[in-house]
Amino acid sequence: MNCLEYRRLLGSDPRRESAEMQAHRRGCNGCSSHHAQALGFELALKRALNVAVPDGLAERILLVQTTAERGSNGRRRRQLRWLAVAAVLVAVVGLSVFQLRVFEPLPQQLIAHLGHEPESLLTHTALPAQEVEQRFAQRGVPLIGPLPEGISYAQPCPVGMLASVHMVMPEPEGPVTVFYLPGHETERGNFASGTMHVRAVPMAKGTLALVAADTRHFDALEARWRLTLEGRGDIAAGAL
Amino acid sequence: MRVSSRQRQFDALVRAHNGDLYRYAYWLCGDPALAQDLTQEAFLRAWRSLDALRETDAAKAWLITILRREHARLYERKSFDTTDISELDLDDRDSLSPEQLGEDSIVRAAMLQLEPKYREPLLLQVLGGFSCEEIARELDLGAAAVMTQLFRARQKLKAMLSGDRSEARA
Repeated sequence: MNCLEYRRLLGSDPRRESAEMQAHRRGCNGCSSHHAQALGFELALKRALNVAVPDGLAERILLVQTTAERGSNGRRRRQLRWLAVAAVLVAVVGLSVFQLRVFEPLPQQLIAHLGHEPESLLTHTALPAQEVEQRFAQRGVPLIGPLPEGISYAQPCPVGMLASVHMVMPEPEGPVTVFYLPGHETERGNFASGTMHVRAVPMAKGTLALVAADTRHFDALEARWRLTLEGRGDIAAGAL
Repeated sequence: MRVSSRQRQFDALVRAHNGDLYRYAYWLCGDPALAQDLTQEAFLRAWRSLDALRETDAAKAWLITILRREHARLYERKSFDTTDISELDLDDRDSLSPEQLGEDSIVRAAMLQLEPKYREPLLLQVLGGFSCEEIARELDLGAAAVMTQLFRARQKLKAMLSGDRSEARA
């Protein structure tokens, strides 16, 4: 190593002297003196660069950071609260939609109910009369006359907000679903929705509803059920 | 209130390195108020990516890298009404306090006159204690180029200081 190389290396990093540099310095008075001057300059440079740090800088940084962090946590909590509010709103809207369906006109509710119990239409075997009577008894409905024959299905069902006895009477042209809704008095009427027809008839402090694709047995069934529920087998005045 | 281990780590980081970072920021921008802002912003950014810091020994270099990026970002965003350090006059001592009229203030003024490409590697070496290889990695330069810049930085500083001293003696 020559003096030029030594001084070039020393000038680029005076505090790191390799073994080779040290060996050169020990054998060279000029470079030894240059080394001492370089270290003196480094000391002065380091002292000058060491400017005073403002008082409380660390505390101010930590204060800003913790405050921002708390704010961010607060925002997260607020977001969660908004999510909860949104969830409640969705639930309320969903419930409202459900409620609206509950308060749909009765014929639509009756037709919709058939879709809820498709198994009701599968059997054609007549139930024992005792079992059907039991369903009416569950609804607190006294039977005045004998039950029609051939009822293949009988369950106490809610239709929307109304209690009913849900029955099925197989006919050659297809099953007729019969609902009796005790305590719900409505005006007599015939309705159609798609391929389905509904007849609602006020009967014995309640409503008898017949639902079927084919209406040809409606009159006979109405008369037959009036016999059962009111004790007389005619069709009510104003029948269509 | 329970303090998380992450918060404790950050506290230790701030207390251990705020001085070094502030000084580095000061010599980058030459403005005490801006240096404080830069230091604060760099630490806040460090907090957000604290999980990236794996080794304690690498903390200082990691923070300085963040600070340098923050400094570059700051100047990309807007220009500041700061002193143009090239306009600093070494002989204009009227505005300096009596304390600043010493040797240190002369070296400081000379340091602020040094071009950034010479000043920054010198800061990394003298303030940061980094080796030429580490500075080369930080500045994305070759080690030989860094050594040359460091050599020239010292030569330029010495030239400015000897000129100033000879004028002071005259």
